[in-house]
Amino acid sequence: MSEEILIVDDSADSRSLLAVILKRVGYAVRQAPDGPTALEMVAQAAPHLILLDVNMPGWDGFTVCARLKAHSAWAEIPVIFVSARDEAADKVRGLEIGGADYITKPFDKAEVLARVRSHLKISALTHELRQKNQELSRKQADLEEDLRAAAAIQASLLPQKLPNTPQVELSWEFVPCQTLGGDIFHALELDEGWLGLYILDVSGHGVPSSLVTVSIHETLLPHSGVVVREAAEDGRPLSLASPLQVARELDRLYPLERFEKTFSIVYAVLDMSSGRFSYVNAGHPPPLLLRADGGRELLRSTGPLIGLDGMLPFEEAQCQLRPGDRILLYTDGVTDLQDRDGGFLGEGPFLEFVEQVRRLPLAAGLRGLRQMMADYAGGAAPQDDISLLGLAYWGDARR
Amino acid sequence: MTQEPEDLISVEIEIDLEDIVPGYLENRRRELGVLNQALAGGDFETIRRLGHDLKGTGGGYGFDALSELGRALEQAGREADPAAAGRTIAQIKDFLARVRVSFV
Repeated sequence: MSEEILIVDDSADSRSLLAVILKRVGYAVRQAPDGPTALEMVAQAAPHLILLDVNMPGWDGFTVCARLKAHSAWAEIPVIFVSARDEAADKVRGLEIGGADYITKPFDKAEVLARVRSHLKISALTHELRQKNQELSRKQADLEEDLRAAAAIQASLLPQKLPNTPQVELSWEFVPCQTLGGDIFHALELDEGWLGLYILDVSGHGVPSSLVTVSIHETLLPHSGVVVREAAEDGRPLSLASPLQVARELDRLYPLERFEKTFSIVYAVLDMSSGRFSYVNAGHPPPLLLRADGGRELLRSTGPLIGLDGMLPFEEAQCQLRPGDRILLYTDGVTDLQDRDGGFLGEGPFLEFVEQVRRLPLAAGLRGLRQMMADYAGGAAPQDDISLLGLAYWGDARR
Repeated sequence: MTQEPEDLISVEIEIDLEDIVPGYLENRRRELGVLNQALAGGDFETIRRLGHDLKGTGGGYGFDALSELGRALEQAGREADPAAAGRTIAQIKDFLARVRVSFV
């Protein structure tokens, strides 16, 4: 035991007695005969605990205690009043101005030691707790920094450069949620005249979902053999997998057991010259087909989420795009967007937003949608990623 | 004869306090002069304060009787009661004359 205790008492006899009792059990002891001397000694080296007399000429113990407590560096030093004043009002006052305890003189030695020991322990534990909290805060800051870095990596996977063809115009908007989300989308020319595009949302949030997102993104790159294959089927060019094949392959590669995650996806292949749009919608919010003539179709789900081990069969659907038609893909971060009162945007209001921008140029329309949603959320960061991927089909009209 | 005279007051005190108890008693004997002077001058504030201090230290040093006398002295000082103060000072003087300490 090497804790140091400062005894403050104008009576040398009182100080000597306490010093003997404390030294006997191993505490280091310093003594001050009055308040100003005590504060000087504390300023030189803060003791672990202070035993403070109340009745002293000049500053009384209450004044000394109040001055200590007003000093942030000293406020945590436990102060135990030791006084022959045994009125309840004195004890209450001592505790109210920050004293840890109040011992009346004449005191019992064992009681003094027990109280000193217990307040030293409380003080040490408090100190330890504060340090642990600071450590936790630091770790939390590191984690948040890592999350920001991970979010930046995930964002870097979003299309940097979209296919530039006369038949198709593409544009996107992405608003990340505060924590790491599980959205990703891409569009790329798989083969001469063939466009592949997808949008997906991995269940959950945070690092695991984000990492799975990155993994699926890799899988869907042309070189990994899932979307571009060797075998020929369905009259497509030799190398392209059909959306149905892609969905089945993803379901095989990403069973729930693998990462404890499922995901929804729309995977589509567009024959850019004919306008034939083939897709699988695996449990994803329905892409909007906005016809040039003002009509609107929802490309509803054609199969279950990926990862449920083919619980239900996937189906592939087609639609025929005509010049001026648009496709808008999005994730449920859009319809689940919350306003300040916790209300959800929902599909109906979202469709109304879309109607307001469908005549604008594609990129401007998506920016407008993003702005309307930001206004709806009232400035709050979204709970989930918001992803918008738009396609305008021109066919050969612009050639 | 090794037998203690009957009018002595025997007090057993822990050996740890051996170094400081003699000085403490010596200080109290010296204080008697201050007390008598205060009583003669009607300085009850000094009587109250010294009584308060004695109440606080006596028992801690092992002399519960001194704490009791200190309490009486403090009260006499607070009430400015010269008869009670004089009586208590005499009792303190008597205690200090008769006390014999053995360290155990």
